[in-house]
Amino acid sequence: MSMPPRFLFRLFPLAGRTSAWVEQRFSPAGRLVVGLLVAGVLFGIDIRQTLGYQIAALNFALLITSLIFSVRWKPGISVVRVLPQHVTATIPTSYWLEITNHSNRLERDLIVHDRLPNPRISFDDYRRALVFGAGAGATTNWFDHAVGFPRWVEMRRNLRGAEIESQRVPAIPPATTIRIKVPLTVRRRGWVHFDTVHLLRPDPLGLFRARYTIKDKAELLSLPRRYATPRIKLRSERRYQKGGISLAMAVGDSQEFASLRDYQPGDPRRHIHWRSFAKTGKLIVKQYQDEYFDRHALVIDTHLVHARPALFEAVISVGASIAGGEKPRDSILDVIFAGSEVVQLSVGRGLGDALQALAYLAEIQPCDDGDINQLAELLRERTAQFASVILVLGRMDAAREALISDLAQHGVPSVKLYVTEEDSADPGAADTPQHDVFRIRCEHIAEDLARVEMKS
Amino acid sequence: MSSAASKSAVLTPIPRFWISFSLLAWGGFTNNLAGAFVMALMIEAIGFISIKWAMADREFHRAADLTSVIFALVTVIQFSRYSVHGIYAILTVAPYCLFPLILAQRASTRQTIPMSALFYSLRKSESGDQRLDITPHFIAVCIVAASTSSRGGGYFVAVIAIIVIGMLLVARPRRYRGWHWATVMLLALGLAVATQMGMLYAHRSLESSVMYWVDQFPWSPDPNRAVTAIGAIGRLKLSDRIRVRVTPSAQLKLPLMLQEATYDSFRFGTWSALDAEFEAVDKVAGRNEWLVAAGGGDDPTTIEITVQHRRALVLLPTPRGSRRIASDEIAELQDNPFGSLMAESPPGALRFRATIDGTEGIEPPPRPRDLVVPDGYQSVVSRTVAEIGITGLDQRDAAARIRQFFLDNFTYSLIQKGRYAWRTPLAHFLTETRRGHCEYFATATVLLLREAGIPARYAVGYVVENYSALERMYIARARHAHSWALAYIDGRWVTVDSTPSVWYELEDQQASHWQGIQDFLSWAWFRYQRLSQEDMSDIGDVMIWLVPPLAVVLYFRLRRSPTAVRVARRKKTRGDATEGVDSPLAVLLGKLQARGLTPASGETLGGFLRRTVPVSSAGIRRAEIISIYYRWRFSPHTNAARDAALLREKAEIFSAEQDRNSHPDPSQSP
Repeated sequence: MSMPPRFLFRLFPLAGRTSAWVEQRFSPAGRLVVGLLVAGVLFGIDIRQTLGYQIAALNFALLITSLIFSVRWKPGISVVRVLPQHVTATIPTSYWLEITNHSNRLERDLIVHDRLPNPRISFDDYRRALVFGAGAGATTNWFDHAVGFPRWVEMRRNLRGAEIESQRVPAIPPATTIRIKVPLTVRRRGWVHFDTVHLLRPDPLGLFRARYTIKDKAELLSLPRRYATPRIKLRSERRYQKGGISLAMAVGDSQEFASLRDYQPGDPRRHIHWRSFAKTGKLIVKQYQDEYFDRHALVIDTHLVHARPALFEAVISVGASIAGGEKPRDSILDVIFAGSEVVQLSVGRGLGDALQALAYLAEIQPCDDGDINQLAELLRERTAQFASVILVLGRMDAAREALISDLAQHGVPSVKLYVTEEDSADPGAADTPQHDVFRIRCEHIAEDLARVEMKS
Repeated sequence: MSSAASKSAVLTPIPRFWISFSLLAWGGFTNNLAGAFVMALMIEAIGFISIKWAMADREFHRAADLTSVIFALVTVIQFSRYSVHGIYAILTVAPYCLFPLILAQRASTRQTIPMSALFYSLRKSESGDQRLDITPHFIAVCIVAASTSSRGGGYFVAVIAIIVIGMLLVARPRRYRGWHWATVMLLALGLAVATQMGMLYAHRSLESSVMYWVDQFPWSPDPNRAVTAIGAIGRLKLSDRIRVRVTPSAQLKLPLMLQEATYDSFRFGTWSALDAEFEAVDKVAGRNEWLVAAGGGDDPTTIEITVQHRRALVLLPTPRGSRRIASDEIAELQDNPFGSLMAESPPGALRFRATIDGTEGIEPPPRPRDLVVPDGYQSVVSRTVAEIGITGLDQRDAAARIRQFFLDNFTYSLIQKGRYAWRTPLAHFLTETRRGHCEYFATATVLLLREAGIPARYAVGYVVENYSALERMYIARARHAHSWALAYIDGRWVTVDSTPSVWYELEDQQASHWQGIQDFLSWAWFRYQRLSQEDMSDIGDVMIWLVPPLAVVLYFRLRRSPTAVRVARRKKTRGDATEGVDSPLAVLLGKLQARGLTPASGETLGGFLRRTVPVSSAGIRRAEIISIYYRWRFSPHTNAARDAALLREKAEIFSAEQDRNSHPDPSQSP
């Protein structure tokens, strides 16, 4: 991967801003006039050779007139952004802009552009991203190869999170509020920051747009992309139970008889043991064992600092797909991953919902502190709690192999998912016989997840 | 509160027939009217027929590739013919290159082309289905291509303004009234006129002050200026490139001096022709001949000369005393008071015949400037004149003495070693080194003649002496360029060439080792140019008439294509209204439209009314009107006539109340 010179890199923000400015401030007709002006100047320098200077003069005059009529504009308009609670990365969605015309005149031909702030990209970040392929998806043509600007643009888009297109605003009568639906597709998980809303008004010739800026900061959480997963049917090690919690009459009830004890005020009458009452003459009630849940662990491998970002994102997506997927009603899923410290989140039966876990996963970054052994240690300590374990791994090395072996030795049933970048031509061969590991290819997550058997 | 979302339109509004109008404008200005007419006909025909083709992206890719191939071919041909000046020639035919793409777009059902057709890298990526309407771009290309025309100045800007204004008119923002738009446009046009005049003035000013530095290349003769290499140090190295060819004939006398230009004013190493504007020479009626000098001798001789040139305007190297110029390749011939001839002809090899008849030197008489010796050279020139000793001699003898002085005391050299102070190289040449190349000799001779009271000028051109067996012609290379003095003696301008005759041999010693190969390539190229100019000039005109029958065949062939789709012709809508005049809501919608409120693209009537009218008016609720409207429009179990009457009545009351609210009666106000 070629690296552009630093001096070129310093020009990228200027080029990016100029390009965005031209796109926003000039209408399509305006851009055509600018193009004609440039062509007229280029080919009309020698006025003896061509009449290009006449084209340049005409279009220059049109543009100057448009600019003069766009110098100042302060409309009586307010804009309120109505965002959803959260969105999912790469899934097209939309939000609303409520635009109110407080003035006495009909406002028409307006354009609204919700702008996301431009992230600052240092040369080191850019270089690292090129090496590790964060610019993936960027077109690598000869220009990109030599200059690197398209890759920089792609990287900025990824960091910004979304590209919001300008929207035409229907005519707004005086003292009226309208709603505009703005399509939104967030490119990545994590927070998306909204900064300002620009209202644009064309000049009388329709070439240049006057701009009115409304500051309105907001944030929107983008959850990791999720795929359909098979229903989890892991083997439970629960014993001596008549049925799961789902069979209980009410919360606090369980079907497992434990012992008899004296009646206490508040005990349900249906639990009175009438035979003992007949024998002893005092009220005796049946005591049942506490509720019991299936508890499964979902371990997500985040110790992937040196992996390509695409691989890490795939691991998070697979983990999020399982955490947010369908589970048995009487089970709890403990999502375990390493952030700044090892995090354990319980999902199910009122302890926490999947959304909470997904929100955590939306923000998780590769863990560069410690290694997978810390996670393995925690898992070994709590092996007794879990009926089974689902492992989502991004690498297969000795430590991870040891973890899998440990679980097998402790008799904990487990499902092992190994996310790889290798695009195997034969998906059937993707399943590694050793340890029954299911291989999930980054480019075919949905396809490979559908083949996984969530059974132990 | 209502919701409405709109999407930016993909198709750019363009007035009807505007592509054809632009094409015809381009054709008219660039002499491609036949081609433009055929293309315009095809563009309009394809818009007129109801069949369109559901083209896949790969078909657009093929059209774009065809465009690229045509463009590459045109680039190669035009660059080979016109060298770097070919860029204008390429630009001139650019609409031809883009035509396959615009035709494919017009013939497609989607009326746009995929971006991947234009950018090869996008063909491999999966970055969505970005499409583009290239109609405005094609019109822009037509405009820029038309600008390569050098005629129709005033008409050109008027036609271009009409094209641009027409496009802006249909895309104009509706928030402004028509008179507002027209006023601003008039203002812009006024500014355009002022800008154009300013540009012309600025260009002329710039040209007069900077041209000296720009046009330094010595072998690209300028009719108004000749920059000499006087004062330059090192070896003067000139090209072996063949510039002039002369067809052998029995009457040809060698060496032949061909004069290109004459100058009268010397300053800072530069000879200029002041007050010597070129003027067109009238063509002899019915023939491609120009009479460039009056009079006529008894023994006319015709010499056929071919000159290699890279610009549309070329100074003709002609024998002194040329009276008549004939050529089929010259569009226009101009001359200036000094007898220099400038022809307008396509860059390449220009062949012409010059007739001389012994009337050499009858150009207009000298002017006072022909006797001026610049201040900086006054003393050294007068000292040299004194040294030569021409006092008391008549003009003819004085000129001969000066020439002899150089031949006796000076040597020819292409190497200049000394680095001299500003404006003194000529003084050093005359007094110390006494060696130099022809520019030294010619310039010094002119100044000495003037000091001796003989009007003199500086002339440049070529000396033809070499014969090329390969070409069977006499040739002059760039290094055979020469300069000499012209002296006005006994009422005639006579040549005074004081450069030692050894210069020709010395220049030939400069020939490179590759000269043989260069000559062969040059000859091959020359033959190709002659072929393309003489034999193939009419082929293009014939080929263009093959296009209509081929287009008809192609149409019937494509009509049977499985991708051909018959599209419904779009009905003409009345303004922006979604409802006709017989609609029960016509009054209400008409009033809203008068206020500039029309439904957005894809907006339902319910959504539109919720956005534009209040919740209730005159006791009638907005929701009630919407409900009755939808019932009348869609329900099969309703009395439509009754609903229509009810809707009309309620809508009229509703809108009347609205009117009263927006224009309150002044008598009711407190």
